[in-house]
Amino acid sequence: MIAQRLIAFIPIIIAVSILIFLALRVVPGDPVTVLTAGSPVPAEVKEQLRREFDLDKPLTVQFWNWAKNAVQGDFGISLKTREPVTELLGETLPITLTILIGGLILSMLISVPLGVIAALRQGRLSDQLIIGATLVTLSVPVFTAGILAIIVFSFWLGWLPPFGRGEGFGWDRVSHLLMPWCVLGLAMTAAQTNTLRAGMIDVLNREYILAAEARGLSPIAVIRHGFRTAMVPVVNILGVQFGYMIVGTVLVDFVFGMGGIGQLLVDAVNQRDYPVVQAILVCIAVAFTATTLLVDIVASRLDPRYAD
Amino acid sequence: MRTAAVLSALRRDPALAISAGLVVIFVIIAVFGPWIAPQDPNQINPGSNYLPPSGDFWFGTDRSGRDLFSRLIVGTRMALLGAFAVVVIDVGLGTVYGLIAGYIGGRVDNIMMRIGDILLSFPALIMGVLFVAIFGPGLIPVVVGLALVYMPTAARVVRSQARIQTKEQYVEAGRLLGYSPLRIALRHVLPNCLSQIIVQASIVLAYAVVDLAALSFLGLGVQPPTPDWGNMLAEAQKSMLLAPWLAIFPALAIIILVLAWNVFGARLRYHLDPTERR
Amino acid sequence: MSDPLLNVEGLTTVYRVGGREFAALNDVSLTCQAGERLGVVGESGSGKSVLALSLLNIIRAPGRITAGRVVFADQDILHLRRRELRRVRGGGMSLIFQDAAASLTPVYPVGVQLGEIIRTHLSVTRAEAARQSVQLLGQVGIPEPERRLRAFPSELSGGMKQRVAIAMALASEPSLLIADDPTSAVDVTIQAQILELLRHLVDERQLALIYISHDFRVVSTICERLLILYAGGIVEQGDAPSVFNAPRHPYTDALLACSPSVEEYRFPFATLPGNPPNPRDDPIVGCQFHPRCPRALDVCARETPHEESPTAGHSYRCWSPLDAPGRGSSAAASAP
Repeated sequence: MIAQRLIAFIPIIIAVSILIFLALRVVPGDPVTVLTAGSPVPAEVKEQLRREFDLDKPLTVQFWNWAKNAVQGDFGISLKTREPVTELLGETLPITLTILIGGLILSMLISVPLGVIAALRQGRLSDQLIIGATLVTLSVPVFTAGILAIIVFSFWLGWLPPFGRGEGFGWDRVSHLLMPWCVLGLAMTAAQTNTLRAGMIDVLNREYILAAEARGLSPIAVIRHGFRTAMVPVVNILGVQFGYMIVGTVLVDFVFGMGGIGQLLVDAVNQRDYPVVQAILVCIAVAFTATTLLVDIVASRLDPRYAD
Repeated sequence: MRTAAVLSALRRDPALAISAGLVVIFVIIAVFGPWIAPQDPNQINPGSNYLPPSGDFWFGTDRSGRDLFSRLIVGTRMALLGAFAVVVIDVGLGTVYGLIAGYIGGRVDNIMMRIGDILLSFPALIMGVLFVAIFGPGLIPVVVGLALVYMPTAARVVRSQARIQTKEQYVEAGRLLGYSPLRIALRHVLPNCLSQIIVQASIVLAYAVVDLAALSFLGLGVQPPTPDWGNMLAEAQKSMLLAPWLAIFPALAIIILVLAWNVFGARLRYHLDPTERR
Repeated sequence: MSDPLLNVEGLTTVYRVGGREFAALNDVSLTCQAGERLGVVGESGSGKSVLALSLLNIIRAPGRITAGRVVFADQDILHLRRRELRRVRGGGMSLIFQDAAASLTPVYPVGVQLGEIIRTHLSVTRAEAARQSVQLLGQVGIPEPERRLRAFPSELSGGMKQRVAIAMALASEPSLLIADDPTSAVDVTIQAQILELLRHLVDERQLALIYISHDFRVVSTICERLLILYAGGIVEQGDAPSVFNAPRHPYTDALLACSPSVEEYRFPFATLPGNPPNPRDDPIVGCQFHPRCPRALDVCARETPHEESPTAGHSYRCWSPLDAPGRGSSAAASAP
């Protein structure tokens, strides 16, 4: 099943790559013209730049050259800084992944107990408080939460550094990552909590939960019997949420000046640095497709009945 | 009947009443902003830059001494207008797309829905970024990019109604009478999916407010000096230590609007749709 | 007579349906001696499953037990602390659910679920629990038990699932086994096997058994004593041959007429005219059965009948009982 999915994965990536490639090229505004705008550059130099970036060749050749190199991990060079795009990605991707994965873990740490408690206390005060809290976190956009967090925790309380990615693997790094993790994590908890709550409520009404209770299992063991099934929709939601996670990471990166892929993307878009924009968008598409694959694998691990 | 239900719900449910009140206030501010604002939002007051909130400048002043309160008031229009534009384009495109897919059916329908799924899986903000990368920064590319991502949901609703109606009305009676597809769409398909589309649109509106503000915050949407909550936040970020109020008030404006809208929607669905209650 | 293993007095379980209270179990009293095999017969909706769950004090909202006592092995089940109650549930008293497929957790392999129950109730090591699991699966007639430990319920056939469910009920070494119609969800050929297996296991372990079923025939082959349940109340009880051959309550008689007998297999099954009381309707005054009863008298619609026990080991609640054997004309009774 996994092998099949992996094969299905390739045409999607190719299609998305072509789409992004075309979208960035068909539209008016030759990158070289954009780049050299404002400064008097002789036509020969422009011509040379065009040759250098393959812009004088037909689109099919351009794409083929780009794809051939991309497969080997070479995404060309940045129009702006003249650095290899792969190098730029290497500098920014690790910190972005750190924010993303940390935020994900944190959100699960928060939403799993909340979702279970809300389901067990369905309709009671604690359930209503949890639902209310998720509605609030759902309504606070990541970037406003980030800015307010900086004002409160960095400027007023002075607990945490406001910007930067920190150094090493100790407290300095963690202190820089703490707010990004929390802001991103909290933003993701709402959907997870609500999905887990609904799944848990559904499962707790099943007969096998009653049967587990009738067999004298402890409350924790009984909840565990329902938990795996209830987690399947949560894992599916994570797949859907992955898009929001990327968006959230881009924004968090920007707010906290982490120098991750978000900042790189926004700068590249503003400067019309096409090789960089293209490489990042294709990377996101690959990650996105890979996530849906991963979601299916995890879900089928959780519940043997999970198919398709 | 419905109106009466809404009124009685308003009386009994304080959360609904408060959120509805806030939404109305925001709409009034958006419409009448320029007349409400005490100052021209772009009026530069030399010598009174970075003033904290006071009687003269309720929310303080920014780097150029512009009145933050006035800028926020006028910026409301951008926030709501942009989001509203997203919803209108989203519903319009989705309706046409769904009608076409639903009427033609078969293979074309399949392919169209598949394309819709791909669009839907695209993170809205990333689509906005892509559109800016193609067309350059500004409100219009951002709005179109967002609407395109939200469109498939509306299309799906319209399409399924269109499928049902082509089977029932069109084939049997409509075609015999020579009704045009357009007439059937207006008479039968759209009225049947109106309530679903309204619910969809209300959810999209909240997302659109946030995504538009986020894109402006990234410097890709509404460009300064046009006042917009997102670009005000971006500018405030540069002087957060010196003038935190510049960040706090726009941030609160976004949060309150989105929260009010979400609570309003959630409570209204709760009262109008009995299946929401457990 | 020594203290019975299970003594139930006046057990009443009420459900809230549509804003109105409905007694799914109404003033039920019964006893079960150690090693005794008791059969409970009733139509669907007669409160059979509610009885099973009430005995374990595991009734869920919108239901609750409002009156009565359940004493099992000198423990007051309705007033036990949670921890002790858990020790009884699945420990001293275990329940086999009607639908085995629905009563097994789908996401854990069979071995994990069995081992968990063993380790909850008996303090043994993981390895010992695994060994016992294999043994249990073998005892309930599952081939290649070691391999089946790793199987998920969805990978087993319906009959296998029911066998696993029986193994789970036995895992905690109970003294009373409650079987809630365990053969109703499997097909006929499997039914006989499951029944035979249960009979064998109960004999071998000298367990007390409460066998709940809608099927008179099944119950009478396995049980010594029968209880007939209608609309949450016991309408007749007594020794199996006596009730089976000479029913006194018209409902019992009707039930018997519905069950396909050995000599005369009626097809399709005859069913009782009418339906058991609907929780949404107004409560019935008097005998609950009188609207459907062919022998109903005026008094039946006014007063609830008392328990009559003209012969030892057989009692009924009816104003208009069928004749006792010797004088009667009941379907299965032999002529003098």
